[in-house]
Amino acid sequence: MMINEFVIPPAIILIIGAFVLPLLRKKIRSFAFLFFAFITLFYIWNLPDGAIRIAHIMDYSLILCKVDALSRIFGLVFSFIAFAGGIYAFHIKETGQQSAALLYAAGAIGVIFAGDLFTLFIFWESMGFTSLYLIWARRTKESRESGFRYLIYHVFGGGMLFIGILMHISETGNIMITRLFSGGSISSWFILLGVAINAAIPPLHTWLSDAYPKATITGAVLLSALTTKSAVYVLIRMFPGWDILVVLGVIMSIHGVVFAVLSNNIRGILSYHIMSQVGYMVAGVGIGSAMALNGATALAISNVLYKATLFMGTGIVLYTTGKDKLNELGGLVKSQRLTMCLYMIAALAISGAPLLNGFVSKSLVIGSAGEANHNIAMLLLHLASVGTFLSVGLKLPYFTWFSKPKDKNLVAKAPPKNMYIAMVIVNLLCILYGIMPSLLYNLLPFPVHFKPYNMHHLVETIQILTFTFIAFWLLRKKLKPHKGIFLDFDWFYRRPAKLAKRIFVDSVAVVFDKADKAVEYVTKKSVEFGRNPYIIFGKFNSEKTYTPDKYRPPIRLLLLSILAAFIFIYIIGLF
Amino acid sequence: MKKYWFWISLILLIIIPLIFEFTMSQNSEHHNWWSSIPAFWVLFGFFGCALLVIFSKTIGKLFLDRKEDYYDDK
Repeated sequence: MMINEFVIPPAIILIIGAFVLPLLRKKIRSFAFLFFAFITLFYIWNLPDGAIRIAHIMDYSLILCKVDALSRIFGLVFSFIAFAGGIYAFHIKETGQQSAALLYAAGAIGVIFAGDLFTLFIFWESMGFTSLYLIWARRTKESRESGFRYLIYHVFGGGMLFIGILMHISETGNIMITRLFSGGSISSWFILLGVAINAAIPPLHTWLSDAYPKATITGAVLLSALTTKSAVYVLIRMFPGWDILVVLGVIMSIHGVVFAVLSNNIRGILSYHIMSQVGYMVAGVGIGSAMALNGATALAISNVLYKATLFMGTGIVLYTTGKDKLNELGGLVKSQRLTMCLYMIAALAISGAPLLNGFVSKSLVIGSAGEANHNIAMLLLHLASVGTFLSVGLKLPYFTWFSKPKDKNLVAKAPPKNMYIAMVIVNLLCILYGIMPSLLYNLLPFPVHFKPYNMHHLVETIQILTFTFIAFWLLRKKLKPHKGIFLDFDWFYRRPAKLAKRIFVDSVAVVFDKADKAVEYVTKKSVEFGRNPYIIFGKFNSEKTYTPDKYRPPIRLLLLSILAAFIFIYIIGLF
Repeated sequence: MKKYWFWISLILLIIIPLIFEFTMSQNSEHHNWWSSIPAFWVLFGFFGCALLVIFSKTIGKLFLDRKEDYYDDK
């Protein structure tokens, strides 16, 4: 075990980076971003298994950093994607976004290396707020509104997680992150609920499909990688073998592909496919065997890579044309051949095409479902795979680059070179892991006894993909994109939001308004009364202010007559 | 010229796996009910894709599609 004092939690490097960045000159900030991300990557690469850092705070010992195979591989890919995202965003000169991105990556990496629930929770929450900045930084009305919904969702999720953690600690007295067993106490369910929100398990997924398409171009790359995958990591740590996760995961993967078919927004399609892919991982966690957990991990790693590349590709389309709706795009292939090719490599990777990393990792999950005799789950996951190729590999590129342009004047300006470089770097890793899966498998938490490249598997995959393509080609007219949005579970809070607004905002406003008027009336009347109490006697005393002189003679008369009456009574009494 | 290569590669992608499927030994590791259906993954890819398109578009038309300003405050 590495000596405690020498282990710095990797997140600290990025946090320092985030605070140093604004102090630097504008020109070197992008370099500094890459520097801090690279140092983190290098540092995590060299962290030995079993390295641990404990901080004693009050009666608790918090484990700020604990390294094992599982946390190492996640940490590596997260810091790698922060680095690649830094290259992709190299032209951005906005310090707020750069610092937020570093803090966001720090949050995700902090979650990965956290050894106890408090540390986990703190980094978990920091991730929510910093990622919000990457949505708001787009500075449109949609992104602002959607950001608020994102914030409410994550605050709620964080609250559930915190309730769960507190209950768990009061039940067990243990703050370590340990495996929780299904059918256990209610605290586990609260923790699961909190994590499920970040993992976008339906019906709690709508923050993702709502906010990610509205985030900044460069921010979406990191968003797509970090939040959901860090939640998957926590699921792998704490919830392996929970049967309900198999069901939820399969539903999730199908839900994602069905809604991606409906989506008209290019980054919306990808957002639903984050969900679909995370569905595989959740199902893998639910199966819970060593192979399934390896599969979930491998797929999370692969997904970070190709999903980031896909968001980079669509980001270039949005950057160069200013459009992200499929019905407004088309025919861009002439001006964007390179972008299209780089995008297609990642699209084939996510679809599970041979020689790419999706093939070697997806098959682990599906294979483990087969081993565990979850036959229906296995078929449905294959179906989700079909849907992935359909939307990400065919529909999106076809209507973006190949179909007839709806707008003849649509031209794409040239994007900054660094965007291409980032895509190439991440794609190379996709290909490398695809050709040499052992490089990926050696990093996985459990030993792998699985050979992805066998004849059956290759035949199966090529047949599925080829005939998906043929069916798409025949049905492509049906898929023609059109303007509009569609309902998802967010209807349940966005539509009643109007009603809720009427009840909680408008009606309250009415009550306050009335109360305000009433108070004003009472005040006004009491002031008037104070000025001239006689007004209560009605109209004949119409003067606003009380003038004593006016009433002096009659009062004097009154007092005199009362006095006279007393004197009179007294005199009578004497006799 | 390009189209020509496209068709050749498509046809190869269809034929070669089919040849392999019917010549190689049965997969002994996992034998599911679908293993005995010939060219199962061909049918699965084709009809799975068609099913997804038609199903999604239908529920879209019937229940889910809305105008862009649906959630906007009026």
